[in-house]
Formats: sequence, C-alpha cells, structure tokens
Amino acid sequence: MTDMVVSVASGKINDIVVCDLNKEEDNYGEADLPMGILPNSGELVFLQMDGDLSQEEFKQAWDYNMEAAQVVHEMMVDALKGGESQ
Amino acid sequence: MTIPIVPKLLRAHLGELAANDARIDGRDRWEGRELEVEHSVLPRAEGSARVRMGDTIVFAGVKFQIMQPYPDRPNQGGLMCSAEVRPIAGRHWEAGPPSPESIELGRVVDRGIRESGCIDVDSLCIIPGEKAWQVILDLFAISDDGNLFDAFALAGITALRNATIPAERFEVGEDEPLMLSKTPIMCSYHRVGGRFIYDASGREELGGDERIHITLGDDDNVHSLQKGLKGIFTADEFEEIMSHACDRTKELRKLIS
Repeated sequence: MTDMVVSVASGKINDIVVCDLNKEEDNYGEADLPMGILPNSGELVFLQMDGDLSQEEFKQAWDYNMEAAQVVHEMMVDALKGGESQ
Repeated sequence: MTIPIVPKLLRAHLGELAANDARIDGRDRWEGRELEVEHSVLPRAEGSARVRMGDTIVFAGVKFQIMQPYPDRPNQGGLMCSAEVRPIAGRHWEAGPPSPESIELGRVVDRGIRESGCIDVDSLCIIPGEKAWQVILDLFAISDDGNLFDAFALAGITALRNATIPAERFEVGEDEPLMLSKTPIMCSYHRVGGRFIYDASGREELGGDERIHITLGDDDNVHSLQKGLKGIFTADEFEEIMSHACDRTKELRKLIS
C-alpha cells in the first residue's frame, strides 16, 4: 500500500469559506467541495463541487482541503501505529 | 449501455499519438471540434436548441407545467432536467429504461444549471403554496461521437435562454420570456493516452480513462465539478484544465449570447 485515501470537504457559508461542513452548513450553505486526496503524493481520486465559488474562494477551499488532508492523514497513521493521538 | 470492448490497439494508438502531442483526428490537445448552435428549432417546444460538435448532435427542448410548490418552499417553482440517449445515437446505447450513463448525463447538466442560480426559482411562483412553474428541460442525443456532456449542457442553456413561459395558454397571465441571470457553461476533459484533452471524440472516450467536468458561470465562478470514471489526477493537471475552462467558457458564452 503506497497511500491512504483521505476525504475532506470545504464550502462556503455567508460568503465565508470554511473547512469541514456540518449538516446544517452543508444543507444551507452556498457551496460544497468534497475531495478524495492521496496525502503522500497530493494526487486526487475524487472531486465534486456544487454551488457558487469565485476562483479565489475555490482556491481557498482547495487549499483548506489539502491542508486538512495532511492533518487527518497524520491521525490515521498514528491510529494505525497504536494510537498516540487517541 | 452495452459495455464497450476497448480495443487494446486503439489504446496503444492513442498513447503513441499522445507521446507526439497529437490526437486521432488531428486536433490540438485543447482544441474543440467544429461547433454549430441553433436556437428555436422545435416549433412545438417553448424553447429549444440544436448543437452539433463534430459528429455529435443533440437537441434540447424546454416545456413548462404548473406544479404545486413543495411544502418547505411554498414560493418557489422548479427545474427538472433529464437526458435520453436512444440507440439511434450509437450502437452502444440500448433501448429500454434510462441507463446509468444517461441518468448521469442529465444530472451533471442539471447540477451546473441549478447550482449557478441562473433561474430565479422565486420568480416562477404564481400563487404561493398553490401554483408555480416547473421548467422541464429535455435533452436528446441524435448522434453520439463523444462528449455528450458539453453538447447537452450547451444545448440546454441555449434552449432555456430562448424559452417563453406560456402563461396565456395556462390562463395565468401574459406570456413572458424566461429570465436567466447567468449563463453557466460546461467544459469536459478526458484523460487520453496519459494526458488530459478537451472535447473527446467517441474513439477517444472509448480508449481513454477518467474525465472531469467543470461548469463555470459569468466571472469564472465555479458552479459544479464532477469527476467520472476511475483514475487519479494531480493538482497541476487540474490547474491546467481549469485555466483552459476559464478561456473556453468565455468563448462559448459569447457564441450563444
């Protein structure tokens, strides 16, 4: 196994780009960008988006997802190694 | 849709062409096929369009019906978009109930139009809680030589831009044009021979891999993204595609405006 898939989503609520939407934010927000990321290579296996994002907002949501994927990936690795971050 | 047999020879040939930065029909990597767009071509529809991209030919038709608004949205009308691809379009399409592929076509086109907010659903309300207009957008493929997604999306938005709400016939006022505040345009990219290309032909789809659909509105705002089929792509590849989509959607928007 060369990598693990991390799924993260960012979106927009009241014109503010945010990471990790909850249900209400997803339902009533203005945009949603879920991505499936391979954190080691930075490649993408999944990409979907709905709503209205300017190019700048889109870039920001994309960067949030890439950053969050690294954090989640570290936690996944920790958990597999015996749970230092548990 | 019957599962097409992917000829190994075709894949190998597309790979060799890609290595020389060439395509099977002589186009550049980012070049679209010859394009024709006509609107108001169907006299019995309230809005219609015909799009030809090379040998891909599609029709879009708009009809209106009166619906009862949904209880949680009493002041809103609705949009319903569906795509049909029958065997006349190509021998890999089968008769019978809608195939998963044609359902996906309808949904991806629907999302781009809906999410752009180009149709003001509040303006479709006739009597709150009782009557509202439902816009029905039907997409039909006559000939499938690849990239039905973009052809449907372009025909769909062109038909909507030229649609008239038939209020007189339903005895609820005077006829008026359907107002659209934006013009969302979709561009689709396929990985063929290891790299992404724009506006894949039928043979390129058959011997290609994953695809990415981007719908951009006015001011390059992103309204929908969809990745289809199996495959992995890099952020750099996506950036290149997005940059092409920003230019191409502007050209196409100008063409139908």
